[in-house]
Amino acid sequence: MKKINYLFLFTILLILVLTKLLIKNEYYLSIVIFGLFNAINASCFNILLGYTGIISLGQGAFYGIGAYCAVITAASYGISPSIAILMASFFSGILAFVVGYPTLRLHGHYLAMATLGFGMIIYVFMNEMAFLTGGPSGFLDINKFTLLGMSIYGESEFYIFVASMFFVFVVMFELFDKSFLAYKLKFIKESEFASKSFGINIFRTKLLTFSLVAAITAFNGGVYAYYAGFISPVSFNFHYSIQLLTMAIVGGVGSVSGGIVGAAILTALPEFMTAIEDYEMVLYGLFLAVTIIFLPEGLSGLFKKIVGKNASN
Amino acid sequence: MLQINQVSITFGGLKALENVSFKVPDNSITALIGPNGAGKTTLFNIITGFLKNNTGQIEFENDDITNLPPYKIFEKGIARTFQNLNVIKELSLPENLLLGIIGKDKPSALKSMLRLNSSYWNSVTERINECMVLTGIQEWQNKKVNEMPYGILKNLEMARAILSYPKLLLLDEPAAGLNNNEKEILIELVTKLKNRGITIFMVEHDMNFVSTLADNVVCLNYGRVIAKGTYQEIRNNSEVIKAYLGDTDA
Repeated sequence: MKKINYLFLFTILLILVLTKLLIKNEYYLSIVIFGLFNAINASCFNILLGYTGIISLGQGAFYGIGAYCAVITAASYGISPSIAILMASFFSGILAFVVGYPTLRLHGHYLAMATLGFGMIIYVFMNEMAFLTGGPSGFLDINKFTLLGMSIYGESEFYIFVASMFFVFVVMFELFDKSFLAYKLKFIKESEFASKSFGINIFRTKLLTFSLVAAITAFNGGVYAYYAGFISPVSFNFHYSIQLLTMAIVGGVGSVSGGIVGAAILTALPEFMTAIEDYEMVLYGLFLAVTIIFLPEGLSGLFKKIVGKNASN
Repeated sequence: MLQINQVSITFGGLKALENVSFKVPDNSITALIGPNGAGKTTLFNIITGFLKNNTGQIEFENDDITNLPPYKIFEKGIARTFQNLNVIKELSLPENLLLGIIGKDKPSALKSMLRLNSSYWNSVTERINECMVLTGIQEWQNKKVNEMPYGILKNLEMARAILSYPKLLLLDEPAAGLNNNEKEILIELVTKLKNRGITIFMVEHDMNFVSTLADNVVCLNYGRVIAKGTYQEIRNNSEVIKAYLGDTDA
């Protein structure tokens, strides 16, 4: 059994605590919070692409479904935001199951196209169903976020909540990475032929993984909606799915740290490059190309190699 | 143990297999031989559920397994190796062997994540070590898979299949690409497996290998069974000689 990387978990915890202690500026704290949301989503994407070999370009849509469902349910029926987020997560999981049932029989580019199509449909739905979603102007009527009767409001309080949620997610991801399930998914990714021959029900495993990942992404989306206080379709469009893809690949697919490293870099980078904001997609393309050609294991893979080399010296 | 009844399959207009029938007896080694393109691997793929036959039936231990999906056929106790290696280069040798165990035991993902089955993990490690010793690959366990010679990778595939405790083991060209020394070791291993009660059904081109190991031989040519019997019976069969050497009258 692979050992849990306690050093990695401790480092993450330390960074989260130090961030809270050192960053007092609310704007910078908000960037870190957005980075944490992205890190969870990119890690979810990583489970699909890096572990299972599912290339889904509809992850932005599940994030949006979580956000919209949570706020619409809470606003329409007056239920607690935390319950609404759980309901949105459940609904997204079910929807992913329905969407995945026909699409996960496809592979490679075909699967990417099918999930891209799903993402586009949801984007159009968010824009056109204005009576429900607020249309392109977005959804403004978002209540304050409460958890167990406590109101969570402001950058500092939200940071504690999102950082805790993120840390729980990282611990779960680390436990997953060192479990039989991670091996099972990696076998599917590397050789469906061999996996089928050795008793793995490929389709069922892929479908459950896809649904579970969509549910986690939607949960994250629900919390994001309450944090942002405003949601619009633009936040969940195709571009966001491509951003997640870039974060996962630049960070390194198939590892726990990959999505986190990728999200940290690609959330922070635009803040320093506002002058070339219009060329963001070009930059993402460039990052993708450079990483795929020169760093197939991503930045976290490079870091591990450097640390391993120094340790052996 | 395994009974093939009137199995046929066509690809477009090509009859890859035509009314193929024979039995693989329990606790025996049966070899399927025939020239290239005879339909041997196609039959393996039908037995293991990767291809669907047009007509005919396949029975395993008196159960109809025709057209079951591959994972269900594996659950019945049929494991296989591949003509083209199917090992995962990203993983270490022991990790590659896990595939045989995970597929068979289906350990709980949640228990595994929450580390509630450490005694099971220990037994898995023991099983893997034992199997590496049996197949002679234990010295390679710390090497990367892409640094291993072909013969070791072949044994890795064999070890992976053995770890699933199969009743019937299908070996697709196990001796292909091996040197004489490696073939000797493989013969010893296959004999050991038979002695452990595993029935072996193999596709093989190496006739020395077949003559040393096989209790029964089935010869296919152009998708039809042209001969079956012991190796001695097969080697003197005029149809088989014609299939391999051509018509001497021509």
